[in-house]
Amino acid sequence: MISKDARTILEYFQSLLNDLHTSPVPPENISSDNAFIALDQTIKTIRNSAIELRNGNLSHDIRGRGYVLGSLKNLQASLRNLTWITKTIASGDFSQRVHFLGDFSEAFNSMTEKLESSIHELEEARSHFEMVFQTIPDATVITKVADGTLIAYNRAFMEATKFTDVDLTVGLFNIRDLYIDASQRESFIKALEVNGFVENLEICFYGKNNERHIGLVSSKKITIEGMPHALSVIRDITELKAIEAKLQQSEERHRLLADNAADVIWTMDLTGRFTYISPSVEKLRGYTVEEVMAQSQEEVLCPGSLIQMQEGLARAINSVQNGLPFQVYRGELEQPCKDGTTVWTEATVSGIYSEDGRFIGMLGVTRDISERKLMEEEIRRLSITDKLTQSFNRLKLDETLEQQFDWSVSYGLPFATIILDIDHFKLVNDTYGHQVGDRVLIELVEVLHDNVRNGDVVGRWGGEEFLIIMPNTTLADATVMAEWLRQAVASHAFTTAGQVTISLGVAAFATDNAPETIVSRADTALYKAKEKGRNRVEVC
Amino acid sequence: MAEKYEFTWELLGDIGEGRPNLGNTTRVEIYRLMQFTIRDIIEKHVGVKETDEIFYEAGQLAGNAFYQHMITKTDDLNHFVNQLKTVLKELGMGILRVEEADMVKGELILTVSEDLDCSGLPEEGYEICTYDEGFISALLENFSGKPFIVKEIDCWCTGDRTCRFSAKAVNR
Repeated sequence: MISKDARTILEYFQSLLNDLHTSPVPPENISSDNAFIALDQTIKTIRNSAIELRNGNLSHDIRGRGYVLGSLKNLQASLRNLTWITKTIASGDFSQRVHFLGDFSEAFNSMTEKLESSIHELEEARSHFEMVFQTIPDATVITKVADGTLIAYNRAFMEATKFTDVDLTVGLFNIRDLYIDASQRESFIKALEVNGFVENLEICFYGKNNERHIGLVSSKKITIEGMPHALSVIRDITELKAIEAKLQQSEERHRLLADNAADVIWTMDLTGRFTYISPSVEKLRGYTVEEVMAQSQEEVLCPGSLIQMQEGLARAINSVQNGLPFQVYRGELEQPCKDGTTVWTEATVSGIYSEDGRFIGMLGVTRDISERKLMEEEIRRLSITDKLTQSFNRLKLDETLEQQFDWSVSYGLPFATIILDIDHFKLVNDTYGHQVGDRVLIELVEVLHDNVRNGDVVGRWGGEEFLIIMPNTTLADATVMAEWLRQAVASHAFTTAGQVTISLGVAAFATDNAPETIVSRADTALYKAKEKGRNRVEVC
Repeated sequence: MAEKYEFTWELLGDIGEGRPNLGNTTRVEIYRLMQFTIRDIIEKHVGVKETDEIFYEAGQLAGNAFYQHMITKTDDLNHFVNQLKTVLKELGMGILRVEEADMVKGELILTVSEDLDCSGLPEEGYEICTYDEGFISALLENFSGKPFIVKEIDCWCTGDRTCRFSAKAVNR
């Protein structure tokens, strides 16, 4: 049991220690007691200090002495030291550690280490980003989406635009001012906001000296300090565009040339399919470009030429597959026309290679050589034709004789020759003149042509001598033919000269070693016919 | 009169050589026994005020030598504090903590817990770490190049369980 006063004092101190609201008035009968005053003061200081510490006030001046107050001061000192350490860490000094605060020390120090490691990683990431950002070969900028304020730029951006660090003061420079066409920025922002990124958007912009650039912009929307920004990589394609324009011009010019050229210009892949053909093909073959593009190889070329082309194509494929240079092909090809005729063309085909040496296809130029072909044919004809009589000349006769001899030797086929000469032709010339003599020669050839078989070759051997080469003919058949001819000539009424006769010598291939020996034997027979009175046939 | 024992670091001797068995540690009470007996006698000779001045100056002398031999010179406050904390702890001199530090203003508040001089002493009602005051002022002066006045504002001996020092740079 305790006294009422003691209980009152206890209740007073209990209230000071335990209650939110306390009675400010101490018990009257003890309030002037020194021991009470000291204790009252200490407990009030403890209460107030605890309240201040609870509220986080570390500046509160804890006055007084004693174990409990000392402990509170110690706690306050620890908290103030923690505050200082935390501030120091926040300023970037991660060497600070807390000791002698039990589990808290370990937790705090772990947090510091983790923070240091995270900051280090962040710093590394930032440094890495900075390095990548600066070393991107294309111009790269970070701008505010809202107003275009420049936040960061790399060296490539400076090189492309010629702006200096002074010009590009971060936070003041506005990328919006560089747009040549403001609507392009609107499209860019719209695309960025809708998709969150922009890929290869072509944008025209000014450089420092108002020079015009064309950039291919790829952007990604990023957030910096809660604000949307655009990280943009700009590939300057100004030069590329200029080259492209030149190329386009050049291509148009070439296409114009190709489209209007008389020659047919075409490109073809290695499968033999046309990839381009100029409209002049219609003039050449009567087919339209579309029709030709749809044609098979068999429809494009006549059979003989098709083989030639297929062989050429095979060689081309072989060259390309083996990395060998494409050998230019030049050849004459016969092509069918829409009207059923054919046309001779000369085709020159070469390989098309890209700048890096890759084979792209074949380029061909096809030229109409019909006229040349005709001319060549005429030249050929003239070269083997006797000018006066229009029969074959000695050249053709020699060729044919040799050919026949070879065939007969090779295949054992018979052939015969008739050599004939106008009897007393000098007399005709002397009597009627050379013009009549020439006329006799012409008419003689006509008679001969009218009576020989198809395949027999009639030619002027020299002067008034003619040679007939008769393939696949025996000596007997040739003799019959010779007699037939003699009669035909003898019965023909030559202009002015009237009747003219011929003498004929016949010889056939036997065991001759050379074509000349056959003719020589026929000549011997002719001589014999002349000897025997002319206008007759002799055999040797 | 010429000094008999002008202090140099070398005066501490080669402890490894001299104490091969006992090593370089001793009991704290022995340290205190020497300090308080010396203080007692000096007080009797010159009075309390002068004794305090003697102890403050001795602390400064010790602080200067300590800085020169135990601290790597640095301009960075945090680095300096970290070194000091570590060496004070390793030598069993106390646990140093910084509560406030404003080197621009030249004002610091430091605490030393488990202080070698006073922790566990009976409560006497007055601060006793005068030697520490001088010691800390010399350390701060060596670090900053500015003289500091250090005053102990809380002490174990005043019932505060930790020693708190206020240091202020002196504008010359």
